[in-house]
Amino acid sequence: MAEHVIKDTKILIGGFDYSPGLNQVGLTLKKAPKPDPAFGDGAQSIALGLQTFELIYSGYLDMNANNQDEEQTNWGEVDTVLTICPENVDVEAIAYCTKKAASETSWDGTIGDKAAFSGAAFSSGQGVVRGLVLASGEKTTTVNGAAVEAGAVGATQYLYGVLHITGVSGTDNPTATVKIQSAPASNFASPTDRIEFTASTEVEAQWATPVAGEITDTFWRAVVTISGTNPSLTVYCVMAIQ
Amino acid sequence: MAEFVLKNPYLMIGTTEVSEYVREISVELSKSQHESTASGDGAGNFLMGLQNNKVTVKLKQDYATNKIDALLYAMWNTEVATAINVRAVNTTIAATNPEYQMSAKIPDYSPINGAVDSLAEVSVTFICTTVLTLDTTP
Repeated sequence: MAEHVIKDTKILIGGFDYSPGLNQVGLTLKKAPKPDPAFGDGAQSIALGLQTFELIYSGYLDMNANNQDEEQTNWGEVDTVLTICPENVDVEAIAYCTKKAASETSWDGTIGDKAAFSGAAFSSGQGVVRGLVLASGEKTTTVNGAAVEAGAVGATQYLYGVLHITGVSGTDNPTATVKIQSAPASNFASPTDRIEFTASTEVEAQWATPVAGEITDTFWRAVVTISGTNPSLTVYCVMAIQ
Repeated sequence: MAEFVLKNPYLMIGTTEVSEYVREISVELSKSQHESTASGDGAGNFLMGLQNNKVTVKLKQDYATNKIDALLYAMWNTEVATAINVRAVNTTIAATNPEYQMSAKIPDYSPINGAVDSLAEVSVTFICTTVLTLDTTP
């Protein structure tokens, strides 16, 4: 990765993939600066206060798309799981995850122009975590994800896991059960389950209970177990160490 | 050094030089001003207080390991004051090419902010928390 043009940003909100209908996004992480100079200082020093974030996004109105219909119906919901992959959503890509609240949503347009859609989201008490994508895309069979060397979880850190299921099809209760494993080596000869999400049978998102360190393993992967008849589930799984 | 066109400024964040990512840079030195004008003064009189310096940059975004996104998110997340060193020209420090040295924090960080088909960039303001050192020693 290096300098690049914004093309393949992925915006996942509550299990819905907003990306196809959007053309602009801005995520700003904030901490309020609190001046704390003391006698003897030569410069103004600051401490940083509580963190918040602001997400703004805009694009084209399509009320047939699940995401925007959902947004119009459920705006104002709190604690909706949010994931932004700034560059792309390939395995090992960077992902920012949190929970959003106090959504704003609107649509407008001038006669003759494409109808526009925009929204905004703000923090709801959950801090932002920066992690890596472990699983991405449509899954029709059980698969062990590629090993990602994300490092160890320190004694004062936590392991976070976030899951979005953005599509489900098939019969006989198509289900995806996703877990995050770690191992000391990339061959995963002796993996350890660290996070197991609740089995998913519908479009949804999950924020797993964070797991406290210390975990000395440095390699990580997602294992996606698929069941049902002719199942197809679109799965995005992110881990973060923070 | 005489007047010149800004072509290759130098920027170090912590121990990582990121000059190659710089698209715009601004070093702003300021001190709080306290008016002390009193009887007999022929003009307004101000005393200078604490330094309030900041460095504002626009950088090309890079999400690779230990590059721009990793450096800036770590600064924002850990809240640790980090060394910021700036020179107007990316050559040896000299009296004519001083290095502005300070420690700074970032209250705000936008890991992504842009439209499809635009260059990925990030603008960030480093709020300096220590007294500026102007290094002119090669």
